[in-house]
Amino acid sequence: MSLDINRVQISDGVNFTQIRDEKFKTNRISVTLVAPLCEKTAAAYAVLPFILRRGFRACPSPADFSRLLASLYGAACDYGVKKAGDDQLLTLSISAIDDRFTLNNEKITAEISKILCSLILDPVIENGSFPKSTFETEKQSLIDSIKAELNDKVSLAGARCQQIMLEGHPAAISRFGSLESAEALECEAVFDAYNELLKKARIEIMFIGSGDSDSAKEIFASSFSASAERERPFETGSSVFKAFGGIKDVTEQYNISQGKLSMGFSCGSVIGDEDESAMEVMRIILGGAPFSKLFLNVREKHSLCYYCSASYDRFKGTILINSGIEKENLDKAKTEILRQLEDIQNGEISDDEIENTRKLIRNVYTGISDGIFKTEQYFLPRLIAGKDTSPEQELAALCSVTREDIINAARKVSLNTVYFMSPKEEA
Amino acid sequence: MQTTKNLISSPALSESYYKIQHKSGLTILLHPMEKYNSVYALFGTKFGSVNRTFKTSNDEDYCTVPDGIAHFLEHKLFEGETEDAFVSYSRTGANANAYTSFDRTCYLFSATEKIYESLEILLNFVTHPYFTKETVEKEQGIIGQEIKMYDDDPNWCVFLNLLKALYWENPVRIDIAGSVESIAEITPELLYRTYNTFYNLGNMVLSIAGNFEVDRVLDHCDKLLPEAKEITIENKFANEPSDVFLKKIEKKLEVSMPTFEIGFKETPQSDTMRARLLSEMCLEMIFGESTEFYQSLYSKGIINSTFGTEVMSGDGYFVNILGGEAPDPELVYDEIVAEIERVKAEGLSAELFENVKKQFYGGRVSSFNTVENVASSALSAYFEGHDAFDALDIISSLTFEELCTHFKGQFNEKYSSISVINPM
Repeated sequence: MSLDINRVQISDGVNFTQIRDEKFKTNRISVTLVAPLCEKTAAAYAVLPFILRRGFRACPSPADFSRLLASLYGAACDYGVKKAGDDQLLTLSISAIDDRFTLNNEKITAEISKILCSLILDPVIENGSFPKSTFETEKQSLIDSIKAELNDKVSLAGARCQQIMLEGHPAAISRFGSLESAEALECEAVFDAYNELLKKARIEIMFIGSGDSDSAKEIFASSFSASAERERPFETGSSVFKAFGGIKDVTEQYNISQGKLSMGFSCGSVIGDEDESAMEVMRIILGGAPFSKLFLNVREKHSLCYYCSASYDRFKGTILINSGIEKENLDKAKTEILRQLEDIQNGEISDDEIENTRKLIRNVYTGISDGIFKTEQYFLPRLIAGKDTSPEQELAALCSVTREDIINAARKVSLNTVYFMSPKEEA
Repeated sequence: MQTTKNLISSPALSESYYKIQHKSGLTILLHPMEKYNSVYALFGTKFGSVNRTFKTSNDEDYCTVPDGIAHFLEHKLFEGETEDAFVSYSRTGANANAYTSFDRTCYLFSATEKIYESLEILLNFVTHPYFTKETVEKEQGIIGQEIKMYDDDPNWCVFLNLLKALYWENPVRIDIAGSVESIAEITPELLYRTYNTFYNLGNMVLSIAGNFEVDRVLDHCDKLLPEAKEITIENKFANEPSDVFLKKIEKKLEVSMPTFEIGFKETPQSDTMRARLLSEMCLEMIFGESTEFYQSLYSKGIINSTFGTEVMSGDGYFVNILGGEAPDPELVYDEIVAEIERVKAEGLSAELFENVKKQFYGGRVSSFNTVENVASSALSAYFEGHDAFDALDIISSLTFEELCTHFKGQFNEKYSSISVINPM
């Protein structure tokens, strides 16, 4: 039960990837525009999915558009603004049940394909730009979203650590752009940014589901080749983070009851590198499973925290370790976390740890094709990095990682930033 | 007792599963999905944070346990006498977890290989409790940090505060994890008494979906599950008045904008699944994105894209909830109350009803896309006294008249509260 994947260029810089699997009851089509993250354009690009998701020329009223989606058996239109290393990803998608499950033989897969094309290529335009009222409302949505990053302290601590570590890199810019640039957005300039993006962004369209993906491909091919002429594309892609200077140590005070510790490391291995798989295996042994060193020691042995885990950014070549702790345990937690990494660097890895990690990886990778989201999350970043290795291929590489490879990968990991979000004294 | 097996099918979805009454007393729901690689298994008991005063037919007196004991027990069950269940699972590669809610505790794993070995681990550790003074103390530190993590989460705080405002007595007003103080009172003896009451196989269900063989699963159940003692669990719930405890509850956290939830406290319904679907439809028809109401408030900036609705229901509680972030939550409250009054006077829209029905139908069909959802919805439906495909049938057969009657009986301003988290 491996994946049936087919990828073609349907227009200059526009790729259409079909992954068909008849076991699914739905189809999901997503369109992702890839642009370099840049302080000047980040907010203008980020607001576009907010504006475009509200309707299109033939269906300009948001209430009507919402009713149209409901009538298509609750087709769900989603938007996303994400970051992949130094690039910004702007996504609009629609998911809906497959034609086979409609009650009156409606052909809704073709319908959602057309709607998605219209949302992106044929937006509502008034006086040569986006309607002023829509623009103002969605500019506010963007501002609210930027401000709301304060609300989730667990993610905020990780994001702050990354920002501090990657200072000077485009990847340090927020996916939404800065608050100041969002507040300074003007309708005409955003409309210009939209036109530029359509001409220069790389566009990745993915169809995942059980339905008629070939007809969908035709719809996208004819819409996208008829749209604005393409220009020389943006230079995208990420530079590898290289640490220099001493360790950055930053503490910020917040009104919180639990301290959040985030430690940033450089590791130098990125997507496509020979030791990418070794780094991933190392990450799991360190802090990616309930049997990993961080969980067993920092949590289970020392009862210092509820969560303590490691994540790996394959675009920048960094590793982040996040944990929620008591303020007075800060030094103890830091020492324990670093000790776990040192243990791996010194070769203190049992055969069981390696074997168990392999088993976990096999379970995860063979399960990817069982979910539409999992499949998209696996492929999209890889396609953006120019790789189309299947989960099976990647699994084989991961399972061939040796103890020596893991130790060597761990020795490349070096502490760069210690960020502590501290509870204020009076809190 | 003999094992009996029934096939439950949905022709519309081309799906079916076995509902098995196992001789041990356990109910088993097995939904084979052979085109998938993975298996998702849930072993759950109808025991959550609301079950705090109880006895079995064999006990003389009711026992009231410290808040958070269901969740604490969930953590501790993983620690067996010989080894931690996570260590056992690490040898099969399964991804294992557990969760505790107001009315249930579930242990789960997902895996693509060594599934019967993982199933054995699941059945074994959940049926073999091991609690000591030392292991209980160790867990108090970890759960203390889990509680503090939630204290910093505005979405959790606004929701829990809403329940505190709506209810006088119902234990849904108490945090599922309890408090640092309440969990300090938990002892091995209390854990054993609680366990022996609620982890009786007659009170439990095993739900599995994905790529597996039905007979092999049953062989493992036959081998590992002894026949449960027949007991009757008696839960004691204090009487809950129909009015609300507080009209408004506020708290300050470091947030960017006020976060609010407005709740309408409703009479608990005997058919929770049907009532919940009806309420969800009402919320969608009155406050969904298709409505002029939503679009008008959205374009004026009174609400933003975080606005949403949900229905929370269980034994003894039923709440219609609307929430999100807003500059002025009181204004949103007034607008919502006025809109309900308007719709009560003018009636719901029959035209929107057909559309919303289609929308809900599509939503249910979509939920059969993953092994995780299939196993989870079979378990939830079972705990509500239904089969997994019933929701689809209910949606198809609902009439506009039934919806209107349901709406008339709910959404009374008098029984509503608002919870707000304000910025510092």
